[in-house]
Amino acid sequence: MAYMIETKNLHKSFPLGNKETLHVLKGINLKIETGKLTILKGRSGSGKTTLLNILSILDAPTEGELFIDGQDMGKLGEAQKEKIRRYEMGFVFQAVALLPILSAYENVEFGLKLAEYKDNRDERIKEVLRIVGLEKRMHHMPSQLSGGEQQRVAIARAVAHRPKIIFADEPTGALDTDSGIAVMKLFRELVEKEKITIVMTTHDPNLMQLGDTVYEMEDGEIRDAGRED
Amino acid sequence: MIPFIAKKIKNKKLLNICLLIGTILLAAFLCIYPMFREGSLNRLIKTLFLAQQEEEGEYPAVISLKETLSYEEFSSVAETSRRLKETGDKWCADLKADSVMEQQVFTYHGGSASSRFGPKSRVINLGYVTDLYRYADVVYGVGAEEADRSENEYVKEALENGAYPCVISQKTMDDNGLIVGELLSFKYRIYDDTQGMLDFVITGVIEEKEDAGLFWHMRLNDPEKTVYLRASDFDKIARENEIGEINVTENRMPDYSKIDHKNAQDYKSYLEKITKENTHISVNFLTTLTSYKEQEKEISMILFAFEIPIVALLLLFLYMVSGRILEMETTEIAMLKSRGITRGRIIAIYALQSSIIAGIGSLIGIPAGFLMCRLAAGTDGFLSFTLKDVSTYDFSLMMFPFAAGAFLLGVLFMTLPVIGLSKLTITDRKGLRVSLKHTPFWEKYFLDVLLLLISAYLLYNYYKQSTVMSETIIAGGGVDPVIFLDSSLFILSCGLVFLRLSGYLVRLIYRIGQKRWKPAGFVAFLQIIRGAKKQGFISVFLIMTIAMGVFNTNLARTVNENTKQRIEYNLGCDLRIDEVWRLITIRNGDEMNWSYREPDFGRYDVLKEYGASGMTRVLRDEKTDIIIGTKTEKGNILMGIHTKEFGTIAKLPADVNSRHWFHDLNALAKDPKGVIISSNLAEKYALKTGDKIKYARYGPMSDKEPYATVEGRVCGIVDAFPGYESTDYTVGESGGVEEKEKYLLVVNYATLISDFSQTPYSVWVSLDKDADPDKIREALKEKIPAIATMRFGSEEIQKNKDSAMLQITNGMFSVGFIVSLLICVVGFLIYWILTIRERELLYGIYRAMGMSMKEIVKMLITEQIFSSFLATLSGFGVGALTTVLFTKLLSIVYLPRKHNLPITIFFRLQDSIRMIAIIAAAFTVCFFIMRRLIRNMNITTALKMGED
Repeated sequence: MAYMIETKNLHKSFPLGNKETLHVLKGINLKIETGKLTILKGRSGSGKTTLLNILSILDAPTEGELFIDGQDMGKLGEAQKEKIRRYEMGFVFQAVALLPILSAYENVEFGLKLAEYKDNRDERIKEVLRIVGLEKRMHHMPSQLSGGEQQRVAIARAVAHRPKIIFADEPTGALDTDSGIAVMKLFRELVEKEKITIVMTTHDPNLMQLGDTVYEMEDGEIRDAGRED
Repeated sequence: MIPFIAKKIKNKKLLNICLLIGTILLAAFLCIYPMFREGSLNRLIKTLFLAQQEEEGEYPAVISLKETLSYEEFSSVAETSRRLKETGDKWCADLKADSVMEQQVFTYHGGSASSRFGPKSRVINLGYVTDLYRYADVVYGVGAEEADRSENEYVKEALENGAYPCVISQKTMDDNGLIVGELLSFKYRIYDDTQGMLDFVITGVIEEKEDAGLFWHMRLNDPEKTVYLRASDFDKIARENEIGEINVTENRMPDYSKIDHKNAQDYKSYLEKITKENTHISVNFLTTLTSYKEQEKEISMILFAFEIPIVALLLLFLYMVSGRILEMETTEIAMLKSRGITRGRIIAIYALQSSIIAGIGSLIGIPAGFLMCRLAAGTDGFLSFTLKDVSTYDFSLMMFPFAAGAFLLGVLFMTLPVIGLSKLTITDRKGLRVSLKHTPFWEKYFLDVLLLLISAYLLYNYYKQSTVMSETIIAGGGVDPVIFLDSSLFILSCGLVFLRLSGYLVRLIYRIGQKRWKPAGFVAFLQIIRGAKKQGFISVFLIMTIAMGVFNTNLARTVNENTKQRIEYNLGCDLRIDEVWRLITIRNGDEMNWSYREPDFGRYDVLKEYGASGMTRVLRDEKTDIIIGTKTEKGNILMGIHTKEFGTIAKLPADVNSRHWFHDLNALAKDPKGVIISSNLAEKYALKTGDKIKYARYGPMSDKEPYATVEGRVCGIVDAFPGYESTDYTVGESGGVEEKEKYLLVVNYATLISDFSQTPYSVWVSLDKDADPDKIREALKEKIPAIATMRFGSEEIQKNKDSAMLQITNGMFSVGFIVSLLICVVGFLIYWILTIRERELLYGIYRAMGMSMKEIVKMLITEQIFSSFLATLSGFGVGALTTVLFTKLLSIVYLPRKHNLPITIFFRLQDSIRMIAIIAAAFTVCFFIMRRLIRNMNITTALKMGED
């Protein structure tokens, strides 16, 4: 079995004002399979976003090792990490993080430009927007789209350059139930059609059945790992 | 509500501090108006009175009552004197002015006298001056009051025979060949036209005392050929001899230093009233006050015109910052609405918040305005601040209403944006963000183009009327303030047109490389294109500030430099001295022969010890006739010069004539009969080098017939020559200005003296830079007591700089520029700080998506280049264009007269470098702050904050 991400004894602590430290992650060991949808679940404050930030090399662990596609991330400089994020990863954030001055089409185009996508860009933009069901609203500005539609554009942007992994932090957090389920279904389709590895966090129990693997986090530790059927 | 508002203010500290700065500047700038106006008006009054004093050589505020009384009306000197004094006192009391001096003169004209030793008959007047011996010295003999103590035998004898004792002035003595002891048999006219006879004996000769102060308004020799009597004798003669008419004069000198902008109108009205009620009353300062009142309007208007653009900029600033605050508070506003708070109450909350800020700002604005006004009053040129005495500019109570006005305007412009936003409900709020692509109102309706056309039309019209405008100004009329506002309108409209064009340009550039732009450029271009509405404010600020700075600098520099050049040109050298020459007249039958005694020129050598590098005699006659064929041109300027000395001492810019003027001097030096003529004369009579012309001069005794006519040969033709103004203006009785062309002839000094004999000349001196006028004045006072005028170029230039109009221009332009630059920098900084804060999530996303720090900085730089940098460049461009189009027109306001030196636009590179340096420094600071903000941004924190 191939693993896209592997962590060994990951710790993360933040200094507090009174010379104390807040130990957020306490020795995380996990393996995320390639081409699967992995869900990190847990309550607020359980450390799942911190773990996702470290896995997506947005943040560095205080201690422990992180391997992505077999490469030790601890040995890479900031510029190399930037490259990995740029070319091999896609991001979907809880806040609908579209660029407000760009239309849906341009938002996806921006992602492609960043990743220096060489193929027919226009075709790819239209294709991903079709996948997310927004080909008819591609020239709308984010403010003219609903929350769910915006999140779908964000997903289209995240997948357009065919990254190896997509990280999604509470992608349904700001959406109503139907929109949330629609986004999850879209993730599933992407995993199946585009063979992308997706790692996402959520605290919504209704979404768990759509994940291939679910890690439950509590107080900075993985409490349970299981496959949802 | 107050704690809620206080919390709101605290939450947006930075922006509210900006609003406070804006209101302080607004109040300060508005408060400058009354203080600067009043200070300038007081300075103007002072200048006008001093100018009159210099021009007329007399106290500039005299009210005179001149009555003619019959012997029946005349009771006695004492009684009349008391009545006159009462009248004078009443004037002063009514004017609430102290009386500085009083002079009373009594004269009786119309008698003739034969003398024992001198000519048999001459006209003699009888006179009495109150306090005569307090203000006059007896230089020979004794005063009439002390006649009994005279040891002169003739006096004693005459007194014994009943003659009245009298004194005469030195001049009367010289002119009439009289001496002490002379007996004058005075034949006079009795009221019924019969004649009587009186004897007077001259007991002494008197002269005005040097320390008589202001007393001698009517000089001792003004009533000519007068013998001054004792009061008792004057009374006795009038009473007993029933002489005809007696002239009595009261000259009252109120303290004019008490006249200021507050009471000038009262003075004027009162003086008009008394002169109208009594035609025997005359006032020598009514013209000064009338001229002041006319210039008062002009000063107020111009000051107002200078205030408007900066006040508009400040209000725009308040509106912009307040709008930014409200944009950030749309959620709160919508929330308040959804909780049932009425729209009126929401507006009231924001109005109260604005009132607190505007209240504090207005209070601080008053002292700030005081300091700014003093700073402005201390300028000597654009952005040239000095420590000169600015005490004339003092605190004014009118600053309070102006501060209140600033408060109201501030509250209004800070509250205006909430009026629209207060309509929004929580559901409308989202729609607000849709308006990114919204085209600004002015752009949609082409207001920018319309405003540009209006300003261009006004400019065209003003140019068409420039001659009328000059004449109005020369005649003492006011200036249309719209002329100044038009330049601001032009700058604003050009700025807006630039924004429109730069928008097209950015779109074009974006389109050209749409597919090729790297991510940083891609986002930056779209940010500029779609965020134009927000950035437009900053761009307009930048363009207006820089363009106004460039234009104001160039205008102020042009006015200052041209004025300086004209003063130097009109004077012709560093120092010009005119001495009083003694005219000697000898009667030869019916003819009167005259000659001038030339003072010793060698005495001026003393000047070499005080920094004089050269001096020369320059003879100047402004009444010369020029005869060409059968035509005669009257009243022209003739100059006699020593060519070599003159060339080194006189000042003339090298490029004002078609060839260097030294060529003409050389030609004159080679030809003793040569004449350099002015080009206007050459043009009128088609004269060329080698042509012959005649010129004639008038002597001191007669203006009717020239005393000599000489022929000369044209050896040079010049447009400009040191000290020669080709156009002369006179204000006619109707108030209109009459323009007269004057012609110039320059000849060799030696030829002139040989052809016309010696006449008074001026001494032209060139001085070292560090020569001190006070020391020179002091040195010459000892050596040459009879100096009539001494004009220093440096002093005249400085005096001009201190003139109210130039002071206002230099001061307001300098302070206005600093204020606009300050708000521009503050506006720029807060715009970018807020923009970066707003974009925190975006930057987090960019960074998360793998964009490097370098790329984000590149993105910001691209944005800066196409917004701020282009706006800055455009500001310089618009400023330069405004300078070219408006400077010559506006210079007319300051230099309305046609002149041999045409108005030249002065552009000094160092002014622009200084401004570029200031702006570059401001931008650099702003950029580093922005860079630091972005650098310190942690991706995960930014994302987290964005989510929040």
